[in-house]
Amino acid sequence: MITRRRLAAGLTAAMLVAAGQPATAQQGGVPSGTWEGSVSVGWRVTFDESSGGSTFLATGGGPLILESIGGGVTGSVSISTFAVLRTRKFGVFPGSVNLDATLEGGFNSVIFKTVSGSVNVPPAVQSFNSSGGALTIDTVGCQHMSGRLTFPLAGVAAIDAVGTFREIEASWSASRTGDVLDAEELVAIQRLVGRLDAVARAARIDSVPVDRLELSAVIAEAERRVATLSAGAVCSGEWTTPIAGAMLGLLDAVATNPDIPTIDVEFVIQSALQTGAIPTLDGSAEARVVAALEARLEQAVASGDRAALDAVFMSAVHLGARDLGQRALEAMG
Amino acid sequence: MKRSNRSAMLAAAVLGLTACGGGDSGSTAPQSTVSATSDETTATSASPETTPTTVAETTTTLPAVTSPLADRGVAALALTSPTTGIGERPTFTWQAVEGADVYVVSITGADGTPLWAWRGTTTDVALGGELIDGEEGPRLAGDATIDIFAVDGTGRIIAASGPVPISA
Repeated sequence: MITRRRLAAGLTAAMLVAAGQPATAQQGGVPSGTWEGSVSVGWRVTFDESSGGSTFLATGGGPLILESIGGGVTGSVSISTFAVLRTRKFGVFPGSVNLDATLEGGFNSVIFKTVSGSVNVPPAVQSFNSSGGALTIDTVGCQHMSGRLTFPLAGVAAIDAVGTFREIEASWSASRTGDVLDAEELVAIQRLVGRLDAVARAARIDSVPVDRLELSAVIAEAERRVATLSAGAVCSGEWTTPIAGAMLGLLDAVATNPDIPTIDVEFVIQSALQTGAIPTLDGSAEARVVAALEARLEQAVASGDRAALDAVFMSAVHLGARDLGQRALEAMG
Repeated sequence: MKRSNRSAMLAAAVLGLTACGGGDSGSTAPQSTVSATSDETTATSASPETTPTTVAETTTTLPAVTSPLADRGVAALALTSPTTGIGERPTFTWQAVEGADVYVVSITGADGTPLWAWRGTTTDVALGGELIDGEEGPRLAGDATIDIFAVDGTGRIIAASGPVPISA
């Protein structure tokens, strides 16, 4: 087997090293210290309206800071969308969502303790103060970790002319800073995440096929940065890369957008494995991708698209999705 | 997708990703015996400076693997690097395939857990790719399987290895 970190609830606190100690030989939890990163594109603002639910495809993000000490996590996150939201139904839609939240919890459950923000859909602007929302840790190494976050807007923000916003969903990446990662390196990582976000944004919102050259270049750079970390900064056998969170966002973007070719979905699944974005700790991201591949398999069968069938098969191999792989094989005749 | 405890993989039987092939298609075929040449010279890996010795009438048992794609117009692709005792960060090599635009490698735990994947134009890759130079990255610590695909410019699989059992 290839070792990867698995968070074990209940073991986390006992396994943490004290703050400031080298992050070596840890078998559970997240290394203590300060983690800095960002919330990435690949997030949705889901919204209810009279004709049914709709999903705004938003772009944006913001800074994330986590402090982990003794099994507990505190932190803060700020999220700002750009000035434009889009939906396939309505097209370009001027609006934005902004929020600032404090975070608190353990590694298996980090919640938004306080949230303040606003939903701006012209001509109305609605401010809100709330709690709720959660940050999940999907992948964690000694140096980098990543995951998703959700914040329910239901009951929080309502724009009469439009409807009620339901939820924000985002992905995030963070890297351990301090004596392990200097500011210059953090900036370089954020640039990588930004480049990956751009690929995801193009796929999710503009349905542009994955820029393979750019994605490959980002992966190579991310690997190089992980490989050049000092030995004392890593935990043997426990790994992920600084772009894993953004990769999760990209994976979701391409898998759930039917306009993105299936061969691109396979490309991104493979890339997600290469960069330690998957397997995730709870497997939920993979489950969502497999569900999307099921639909793509049906489409490939209907259209007789052998390249798409091959892509579904390779994707199933990557993900260990045996039933899906078997059905792809059978569809090949 | 069901996830399983990776710590159990050491004890698990090598099932192979053939499971994508399900029951009888693409399963690991019965073991076959490959005879080594009687005058082949080898050196032990544990002692690089050991004087080469002649191996006489040695036979090596290798798993004969059939890709589940073999009867669907996809050619066989042979892994040419060792499959057992290969250490935690092995380098895999395979035969070149004419018409291949890219090779895709997928490594899966014995229990089906996805572990690592790669794509590139070369016919070799070290587990972890560029991460091989660092401390952080994937390591082989037990049984797993490797699948290698040769893919043409249109995205079609033109050759496949089938799931080949490997172990550290």
